[in-house]
Parts: sequence; structure tokens; C-alpha cells
Amino acid sequence: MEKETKIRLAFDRRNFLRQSAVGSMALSSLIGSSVQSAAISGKAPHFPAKAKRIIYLFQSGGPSQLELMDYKPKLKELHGSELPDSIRQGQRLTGMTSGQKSFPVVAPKFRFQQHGKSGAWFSELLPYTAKMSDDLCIIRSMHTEAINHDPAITFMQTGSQQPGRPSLGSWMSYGLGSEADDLPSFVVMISHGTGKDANQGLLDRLWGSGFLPSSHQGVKLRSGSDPVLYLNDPAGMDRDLRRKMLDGLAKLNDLQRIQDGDPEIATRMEQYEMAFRMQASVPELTDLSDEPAETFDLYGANAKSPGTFAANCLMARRLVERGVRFVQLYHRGWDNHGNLPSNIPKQCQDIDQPQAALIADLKRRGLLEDTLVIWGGEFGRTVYSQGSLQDDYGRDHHGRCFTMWMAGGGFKPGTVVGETDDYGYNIVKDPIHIHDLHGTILHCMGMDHLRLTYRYQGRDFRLTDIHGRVVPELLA
Amino acid sequence: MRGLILCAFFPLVLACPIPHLDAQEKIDFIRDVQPILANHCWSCHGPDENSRQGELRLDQRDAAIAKKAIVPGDSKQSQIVSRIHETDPETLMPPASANKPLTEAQKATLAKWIDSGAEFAQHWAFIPPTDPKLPEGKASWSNKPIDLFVADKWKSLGLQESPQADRGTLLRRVYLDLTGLPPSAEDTEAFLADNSKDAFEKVVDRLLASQAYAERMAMTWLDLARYADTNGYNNDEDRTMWPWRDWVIQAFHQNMPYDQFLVEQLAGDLFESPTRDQLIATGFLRNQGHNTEGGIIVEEYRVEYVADRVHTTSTVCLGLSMQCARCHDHKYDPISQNEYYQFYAYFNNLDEKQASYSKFVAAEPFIRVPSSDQESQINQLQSEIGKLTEGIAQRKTDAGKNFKQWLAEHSIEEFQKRFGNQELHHFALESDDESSLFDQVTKQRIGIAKGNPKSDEGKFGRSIRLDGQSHYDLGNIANFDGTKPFSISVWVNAQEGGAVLSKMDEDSAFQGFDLLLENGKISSHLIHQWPSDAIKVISKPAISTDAWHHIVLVYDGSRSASGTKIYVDGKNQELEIANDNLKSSIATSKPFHLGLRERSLAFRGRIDRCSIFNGQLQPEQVAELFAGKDVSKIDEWLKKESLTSEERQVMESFYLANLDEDLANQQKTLAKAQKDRQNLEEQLPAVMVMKEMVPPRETFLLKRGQYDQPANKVNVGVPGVLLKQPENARQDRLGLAKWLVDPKNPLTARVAVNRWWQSYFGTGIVKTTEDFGITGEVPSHPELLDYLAVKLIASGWNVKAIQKEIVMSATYQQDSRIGSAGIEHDPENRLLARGPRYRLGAETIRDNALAISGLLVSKVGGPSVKPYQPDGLWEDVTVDRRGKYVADTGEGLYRRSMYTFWKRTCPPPSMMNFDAPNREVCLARRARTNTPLQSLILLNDPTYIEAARSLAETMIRASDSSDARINAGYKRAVARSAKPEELAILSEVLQQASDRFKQHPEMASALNKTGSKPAAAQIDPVELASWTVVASTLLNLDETISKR
Repeated sequence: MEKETKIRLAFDRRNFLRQSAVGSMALSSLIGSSVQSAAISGKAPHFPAKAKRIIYLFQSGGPSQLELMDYKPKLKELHGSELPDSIRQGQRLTGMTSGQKSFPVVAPKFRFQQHGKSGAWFSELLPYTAKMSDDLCIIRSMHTEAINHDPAITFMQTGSQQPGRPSLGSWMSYGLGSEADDLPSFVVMISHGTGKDANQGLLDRLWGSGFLPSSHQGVKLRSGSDPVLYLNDPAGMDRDLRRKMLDGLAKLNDLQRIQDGDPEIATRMEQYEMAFRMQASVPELTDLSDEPAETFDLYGANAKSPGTFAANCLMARRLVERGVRFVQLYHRGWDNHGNLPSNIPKQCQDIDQPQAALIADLKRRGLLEDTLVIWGGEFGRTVYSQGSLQDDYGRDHHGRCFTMWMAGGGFKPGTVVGETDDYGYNIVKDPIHIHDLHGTILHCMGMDHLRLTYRYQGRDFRLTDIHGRVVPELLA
Repeated sequence: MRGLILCAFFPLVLACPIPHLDAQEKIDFIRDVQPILANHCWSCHGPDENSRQGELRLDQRDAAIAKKAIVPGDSKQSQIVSRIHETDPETLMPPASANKPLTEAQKATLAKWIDSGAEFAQHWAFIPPTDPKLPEGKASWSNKPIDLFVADKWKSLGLQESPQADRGTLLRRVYLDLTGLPPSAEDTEAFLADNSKDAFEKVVDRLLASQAYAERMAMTWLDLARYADTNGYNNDEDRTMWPWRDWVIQAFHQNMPYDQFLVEQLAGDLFESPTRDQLIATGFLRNQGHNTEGGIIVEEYRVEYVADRVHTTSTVCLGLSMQCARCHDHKYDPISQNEYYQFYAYFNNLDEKQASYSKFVAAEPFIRVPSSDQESQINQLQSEIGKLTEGIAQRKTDAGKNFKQWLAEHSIEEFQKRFGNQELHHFALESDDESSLFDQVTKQRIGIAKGNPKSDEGKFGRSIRLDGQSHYDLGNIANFDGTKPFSISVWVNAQEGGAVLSKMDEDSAFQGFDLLLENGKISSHLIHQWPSDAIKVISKPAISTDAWHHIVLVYDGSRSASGTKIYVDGKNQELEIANDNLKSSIATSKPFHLGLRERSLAFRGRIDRCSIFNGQLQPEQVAELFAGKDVSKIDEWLKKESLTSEERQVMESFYLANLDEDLANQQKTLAKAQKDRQNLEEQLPAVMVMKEMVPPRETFLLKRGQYDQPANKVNVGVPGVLLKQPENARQDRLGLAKWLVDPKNPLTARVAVNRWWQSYFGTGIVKTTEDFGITGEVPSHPELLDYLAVKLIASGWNVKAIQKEIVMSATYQQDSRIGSAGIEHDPENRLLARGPRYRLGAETIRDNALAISGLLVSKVGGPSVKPYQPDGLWEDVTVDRRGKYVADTGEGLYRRSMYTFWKRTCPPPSMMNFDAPNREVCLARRARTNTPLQSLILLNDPTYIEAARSLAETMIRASDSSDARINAGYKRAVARSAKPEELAILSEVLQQASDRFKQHPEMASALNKTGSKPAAAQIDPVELASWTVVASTLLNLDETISKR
């Protein structure tokens, strides 16, 4: 039935385009418009791309760099001492700790070890990720001006702290188009951390298209029976009947197209056919029964539970295999103002094995070289304790330095870039701003961040606003 | 490897310039030259002084000539021409680094322009429109001004008009355009049967008078006004701005003149004694988001809100993006950064209070807006409260007389028994056992020590010493709700500030009370919700550390700061009132703490003798406490022969507080009435409004637009390039609003008529509806734009008159079919040689389906509603995964989409997928895209399945004949009968569906169950399901979801 349908569709499409005098016109104007918009938005890369697609493993809430990958051995002796003013340097603090009289330094509770040829340090919470050390480009010197979730996550995802700009994924969709003909070019998936319920919201704007056409907005892929909203036919409508109805609809619309000569009708008819194909391709995508048992050994048993970070990582691999340009994951629950030592191991357990598996899996399939995997949150956390020093301490938001890592896609593997001071508070070497990271990501995708622009209200807007640079130290 | 399929998920918006007229035409500076200069030169050689290179500016003719960049009449001598042809990349202009190379055609244009004299012109949009001369027209087609202007453009291109659309199509078009709803089958029939000359005009007049017209007009205003039902940002709480939406609908319904419409929204609060409606109107400027995230820096966001008001006002009224001048002088338009902040200053004078997260109602200032029922209830309660208040005052006046009377009727013994002590707790803190505290009143040890309090030398005997990590938790004592008086006396010897005592719930917006030592000063909070429902007073003089001080808080139960006293060392202190809007209870079940708030502000130092009283201590009693004595026992005074006047006053107030039963009853009744009023008021929607600060807030230019980088001070002012303000103009928003609607303002009327034009033709006369500045697109029909703008002003800003003029034009009424020439030469229909056609907007697509199917509930206005939405969307993104979307039952499922609840962080997907914005920022023009997700919604969203079933029921009831049924469906869906081929196709669909459902009746019943309305029981389920498939096909027709 599937094959039959495809053939019939192809026939129908050819047929309606050929049937009338405007048919060929409609076709050429369809193609013409694509070419035209390609010229405008740079649908082709500006230069040969290292990466064709991106998987962004966003850790929402701000994971602590000090407990995970920014090893600060001196903290052990500094534990309990007051953060010196020479380190804090009058840095503005959030309203949550700005009233604090004392800023006691708190050393992480977890052990660190070096891994791989690069000798990068990882805490004991990330044993699987540590094994991938030589595939990672670790940046310990990320920084942002934002100190609260909403502006910080908006900054990381749209290049601006305030609402209104297009998201990273929508820029990619706009700039490069899609490689998938039956899936969206920009897919979003959300998972909830077991560490704690997230006390910060995710926001539509993080995957929104801002002032770009709304077709570039991220499409949520959800766990459950309707992975794409409204994907399923209503109860009582089976595929065969849907096909027959769509055939009737196509014929009626085609009559209209011939009569009215409007090429847009043909475009809309295309969308119905694409929708029909998605109704088959998405279930095929989300049906994991074709995955061997070995997959679940690799990603962990959680990968079988829809909606977990593990399942989303596996889904991310399946999506990029099918040509999806940008896969955005959010894992929530990293905002550890208190009880950090109890919560962060659970969060790490959620992500460690699956993210390492994703890299290994992409690598063995030959996909890692042109797939960029990005890992990180919206900011880091303070070296001082939020509130008084306790056994189950917490840390406040910290934008002055935080750690991210990249894998594949033209980033330099087995590298650690940037360095923070003994307190893990300030960057002492190679600071990399969010704008710089964005510029470098675009570069790897074959786009010049200065040239990927969209005119809105008289101004040519860029993802990097008026800032940003490509960071050579990060490139392979 | 998969091929690159470009059309997938891409909008097929044909981006074309306005079709070119004549290659030989004279160079026009505005149309041909200015865009090149602005886009390629002015970034470095334009109005922005700070980024200007080589002191050369190319936006002013004299300056460019003085520098020899331009030699008028001689392009060869002009440096800009040589520089743009440079082969040396070092000297080539624009430089390669700018990424803005010129095309050969652009270079030629510049040269040609210089050769022909290099005339500059003021940007067209900054010159006020004048009534243009009507072109000589083709009388055979139409003599209406719009048509004459449109046809004039066709002359040189040899174009001609399309015939008038057939009447059914035209009727449907004008219904959808004026009301956002289709004509009913009856409307269509009546119109087709009306052969009178003015049949169409009668329809137009009727539609313009309808509420549906007002709703349609308001619908587009919501995008501009970034209306939503939540705050946006991290916490995204619900808000109730819908009375403002109702105001907009009624303004359009009453045909409020457009100038008044703007002025009331921008400055209704500044009218002399503004009406409630005028206050509500200013909600326009409060519709922006509000961030309540815990750690935010309030000023940072306050500045963003002001900037948003500037952006919204300038986009909506002026079609200019002032925001470019926020960080530096505008690069293209002659608006300096200083002028930006002058404009900003108008909106900076609002004391927008940061709202707290957990109990968000609205950010002050706001007003409560009752319905008429609620209003009369409130009035009734208010008059009751008035009477009771008078009665209570009388009892107070008569206290001395009444007390005598009481004493005559009661014995001293009885008094002693009842009122021996008004002290509730007294902690002398004398014991060496620090684990808990001994209460002298109840004679027992209570509470528990946290941390390590130490007994130490005290003011009197011993005291306790707290080290900043310790405090006492005394359990749920001192449970005051704020309606009764209480007093607290305590001695402190502080090393550092903190909470001396407190009973507070920090997570519940700090509900409770405290007594603090902050920055050396004694302060106290009484809070229901900080800061919108709370008192805060601060004693003005500071106290010394490392010394004993006696502090007494006295509160009279009035819920006002004036009823709050702080005594330090026996002296009543002058207080700074930092907050004074307590309306609700301060009661909390959190424990009473000595030395800490609930969690924060630990106190370091010693505390001695803490007593809690359930009445107001009189000054004399405070003096006794300060002197180290116990408070006089009032019963002892009764034995005295004569009382001093102070003692008499104490006695009387004691009598009133404790013995006057009549007073107590009246107070109880008053409290209930007040409570009732409060409860009622809390149910009223809170509408955030504008309110000026007195004295005004000072405004500073902010370097790089940063909130914490103030530079020079600026006063209010308008961008002078557009129109100077009269000498005596008001220096506030009302002055600004009047300037905006001044008939000489070059932009306001043009921007308005252009936006309306866009809503009929899909594209504005100026395509960049949001940008009339130098980098915006030039108008396709400048004279037509000016004609309409002048007409609008001359008509007294008559909104309906302009809508009518547009739809009555022959241009609007043309057939919309596209010939091959049209596709080739004018795919976007900028020349208007055919009628408008395009896909309906998000709201109209759904409203149309609901109307066709007969499900639409045409109730106007009121709170937002929640139609069907897939489960779990809100939980996925909200804080703590709370805030479940619960769809309405009943009429809320079937209201017009402009009433759909708009959550900014998770807007309704069925709207977003059809290009609606998330309403975080002002939007003047939506994109129009085509995606498969749209098809999925129309095919599968229960809204459309239920609508299809409802339409099926109507079709089935219409006739027994299949063809007649299909025709009935067509009439409703697209206002025409089906053609034979269409009948044949749909009959086949029907047959296929029917065959399938006959084989599988369970499928039919399943389909019939979609949605909340039960399927018609009288109709055979298989028949109903089969027709539902047919009806669904009709609802998915391109023709149904398009205007044509």
C-alpha cells in the first residue's frame, strides 16, 4: 500500500502539473521562487561546510562547571574561606544572593580524574562521557553577561537576551534549508531531569522564528502517540480512507488551480502530500523496533522509555540520519540553588551514558564528522555557596565562566580550550563569548556569521548581532 | 545521500520588487538612489556621528559636495564614483569587509544620478501628505479615486482591469475581509436575489455596523499591541488584560475616530478626570511582558519595558523602528540617540512595580474592572462600610461617656478577672538553659533553639547572644492577621543588622511581619504579598551598634502605614513610608523567629526582654518599658481617685479595644463587609494601566542602551525631522499623543491606511508596513497612499469610511483569477490588475470553519477561552511542570479565535503554525507560509473534525439527495454551488467512505465521537461518518481556506 501510494502520488503530481497550460508555469514558478529565495537567504552555504547538521544537547538551568568538568584542586583548601573581593571584583549578582553577607567558597564533593590523550579532567559523575574525551572539544571559558535564566537561555538560543530574535535552529533552517523531504528541518525535544523539577520555564521563543517566516520555527517531537502535533488521523480514519480523501481533495484543488491559475494552490497541494508522507515517516522514525538490542546496551535501558534524555539522544541520531538539519534537545533540572550534591548525580546519570553513546554511535556510522554535537547550559554556577555553607550546598547562577563541549562537525577533537582561575570564578585564558560560539558554529555550517542576515524593520539582523568572531582555536 | 529539496518546509513567498515601470524613466532619488546610499554607504558615511569615517557624510548634499565626493553633473570628477570602481581592494568602496558590494547596475545608477545633477530629496515619508491631483481616468471602468490612481499606473504597462468578481465570490470576499467570517447560506441567497443597484453597498453597511466587523478590526490590533493572556518570560503567569481587548472591540464598533483611538490608548490617563474606559485604553502600553524571575535586576527589565513601549508606539503610529537609535544614532533615518531617549522619556515616567512571582495578579499600577453586576454589589458594600465607619467613629468620640457607664454597671473585680494582663508573651531571657525560652506570661518554656544561641550579659540581667547562624523558633505564636492592634517590645545590642524578630513565609511573597535592623535603621514589614499588598516603614535615624537600644513596634490594626509606630529608646520615630498598600491578611502559619526571618537576614548580636502585646501600647507604657519597668496594670489605675489626661486617654483606648461590645460588633460587621469587598475585588480582572509619577522620573541617555550606563540627562521631545511640536505642547504622553495625531504629522495617517490596505490586498501600498523609514520599501502607489491618508484626516479620522471606500472600489471588486501574464509580470499583484487572493489568517481559518459548520458561538468580548489543545504542552515547558491546560467545556470551545487564551511561552499551536506571532513583541505584518503542519491541523485537529461532522449533519438534513447535500455544503463553505465535476469527485469520496464504514461500523462510531458535542442520534452512524469525510474535504479545500 505504501509503495502504491507513493507511485500514485508521483503520478498525481505530474499529472496536475501537466494538465493545463499554466501547469508548466506553476512548476517553473515554484522552482523559480525557491531559487530566488535561495539567493536571498543564502540557502547554499557561503563556503564548504564542515558540518551539515547539529544536535544541541541543551542542559537547562545551568549545570555546575565545578562539579563536572572544570577541575579546581585548590578549592579543597579554600573550602569555607570567604571569596576574596579581588576575585569577585564587584561582579553583579542575582537578586537571590546579592543580599548575602558572606560568600563562603565551597569545594565540589566529587573526585576528578584525567582522561584520554588530551588529559581532560572529568568528575566521577561522568564516567561514560570521560571515555569520549578524545572526541570532545571542551571549552572551559564560555561567558555571558546574563545572570538569570530567562535572559541567559534566550541569549544562548537567539543571540539576544531580550525576546524577538530568531533562534539558532531557525537561522539554520533559513540559511541552509532542509535535507529531509518528509521531516521538518528543525526538531525540538524536551526531557525532564530526575534531579529536580525545573524551576525555570522553557519558552516558545527558544525555538521560535522571531522575525523570520514562521515555517522556520522548531517543530516539537514529543513522546507519546502523537509525536508531531496533529500527526495522527482521527479515530475512525484509516490510512487507506485518508488517502482516498486526499485524492479527492487533490482533484478538487486541481480543478480550482486550473480555473484560477494560482500557483500557490499547487504549493498548498504539495503540503498535503508532504503531510501524508510525514504521517508515515514520523511513526517509522519513532518506532524503535528496528533498533538492535545492542543499541540499548549502548544508550542504556532508558532509551526505551519515551521522553527520557536517553530516548531523545537515540531519536536525535535517527533524525540526523534522515536529514534533519537541527535537532534541539532540552534536558531540564540543573538549577541547583540548594541540594546540589544530592541532585547533580541524578542529572548526570540521566545524561552521561546516552550522550556518550550518541557520540560513539554517530562516529561509527561516519556521521560525526559532519554532525556537530553541542553540549551546555545557559551559564555556570558560583564557587561560593548560596546561603550559609551546608553539607548539601547550593550554588547561584554564574555567567563569568562556564563549560561547554562540542563534538564533531569541524570542531577540534581532544582539545581543552580556555582556563579559569583557582576559584573557577574568572577566566584567565581564551575567553569565548556566546556570540563567538555562534559565529564559530555558523562557520562550521559553512556560513559567514557576518553574511547570514535578514532584513527586518530596515535593519540587516544577524545571529551574532554586531559582535562575534570565529574562534580558530576551536577548529579542527 | 538525500537530495536537497528546497521547497520542503519553506515559505513560497515570492519576493519580488514592485514591477518595474520604464527603464528610460528619469532617476528618482527616493526610489532609485537613496536605497543604494542607505544600504551601502550610510553605515559609515551617514547620520551616525560616532561611526562616521573620514568625516564624510553622504546623506547631506552640501557635505558630500564640500568633500568632493560628489561633483554635481560630473560623475567622472566625483570621488564616490571613482571609489566604487576601484580595482585596488584597499581603496574600493564599499570595503569588502562591509559585505555590501554594489552591482554594476547600482554603480550606473549612482553615476547617472550625479550626471543629472545629484539632487537629493527629503525622504518621501517625512513630508506630510498633500491631497494629490486625481489622474485622468478611464470612465468606462470606474471614476472612483482609488481606481483612478490604480489604473493610472497601468497606462505605461498596457495593463487593464480584470472584470468584477462574480457576486457570490465578491460577497464571500467582503464578508471575510470586513468580519473575518463567511456569509451564511441564507446571506448568500438573499444577496444573489437582490437585484437593486446598491445591493452590495447595503451589505457593506450592514457588515460595518456589526460586532463581527469590530472583532475583525480588533484582531489585527492585537498583534500590534502584543496582547497576551500571560506575562511571558520564565514564570509566565496568567494576567487579565482582556477588558482592554473589549475596549478595542467597542472602539471599532462605535467607529471611534482613529486619532482619538490612539490618543486614549497612549494617554487616556492624562485626560482631565479620565473615565474608567480611558484608563483601560492605556492598557495598550502595558501589554508587554513582565518578568518575575527570582533573581532579576529590576531596573534592567524596567528599562526593557520602556524600550518596548517606544518600539511599539513608533512602529504602530509612525511605521518607524526607533529601536535602532537606542544604542547609537540611527544609521539611516535622521533620528539621533538623544532623540530616542527624548521619546523614551515620555514612557519612562511610569512607576511600574516589580510584581512577585507566587501570587501574581498584575504589576502596579493597575485597576480592577468590574462588570455592571459586580459594580452594584461593590457600591452596596461601600455604602455599608461608610455607615459602619461613621458608627465606629461615633463610639470612639463617646468612649469617655460610655466607659463611665460601663464602670457603673460592672465591678472592678470583674474587670481584673478579664483584663489583668494584655501581655501575650514575655521572654525575659534570664535562664542559662539556651535550648528553649521561658515565657513569663504562660509560665512555660516554649520554642526551640536553632544553631548556638548563648546566654550572655544583658541589659537587664542576662540576654541571649546570636552569632548569625542561630535563632529561636518559637512556634506559631503572635498569629496576627493585621486587622487588630498589636505591639512588640524588645531590647537589642547589635553587631550587625538582620531580622530581630519575624513571622514570615518567604516563599509566599513574604506574607507575615518582621522587625529588622537594616543599614543601621529599624524597619518593619507587614505583608500579604510583597510589594503589591504590604506595608513597609523605616525609622529615619540610624541606631548605633554594640550598644543597647529599646525598640517597640506599635500597630493599630488599620492596615495603613500611618497606623504603624516605631519607638526607639522611648521616642516615637519619624518614619519613612516605603510601601503602603496593605489590603489583605498578614497571617501565616510559619513560626515566630527571634533572630532570623524565615531563612534569611540572620541577626548577629544580643537580644533582651522581648514582650508581645495584643493591643496598642500607649506612649506612657512604652516609657515604662524603656525605664525597665513592667507595663502599668490598667486595673490598678481604676482604683485611682483621679486620672491624668494621658491616663484617661489610655483608659479610653483600652475600653474601646476591650470592653465596648457595640464597637466590637460594628467592627466585626465592618471587617466582614471589607472582607466581602476584598473577595469581590480579587475576582475582578486587574487591568494594568498607565499613571504618571509625581515628581517625574529623570531620564538619561543610556550608553549602548545599557540600563546601568546613564550619560546625560534628557527631557521629553519628539523627532524633529517629522514635525516640530508647538511651543506650548504638554511635556507628557498626552502631548506626544497629540503630536502623533496632528494632521501635519507625515506618518500616522499613512501608516494606518497602509495597514488597512494590507488587510484587504495582502500587501500594503508600502510593503514594509512596519518600516516607512529610509530603508523601507517605497510605496507602489504614492499618490493613492497620500489620497487615503488625507481622506482619513479630512473625514475626522473616520475608520469605517475608509474601509468602505476600499471595499467599494472597483479595484477591490475585481476577479482574482491570475492569467499567465499576471504570474510572469506581477506575481505579488502589486499593480492590482486583479482582485486580492491569498490564504486566510490563522484566526480566520478556524473561525471560518466554525461558522461554516454552525458551531461558532458569536458572543462578543469577555475573558479568554480555551478550545481544544493537545495534552501536555504546558507541562513540558512550565516551571515545576505546573499549569495544565484544561480545555473549556461548552461555548468556550467554539468562540472566535481572537478570544483563545494566549500563553506567551506556549502559544496555541494551531495559531502559531498559521503564522501567528508569539506576541512577545509588536508585529505589523505576518508572514504567509505553507507547511505540511498546517495540513495536519486542518485534517486532524478535533476542532476541524467536529466542525466537519457538524457540517455533515447540516448537509444530511438539507436533503435526501446526495447532490443537493453536496451543494448545501458548497454554499456554506464557499458561497457557491458545486460544479458537475466537483459533484462527481465528492460523490466518489462519499462512496469510498461509505464502503469503508459499512465494512467497519466501529470506525464510523469512533469518528463520530471526536469532539465534545455528541453526534446527532437520529442520523445513521455510517451515513454520518461518511458525510463527515466529505465535509472534512470541503473544509480542506484551498478555496475554503483562501480569500479569492
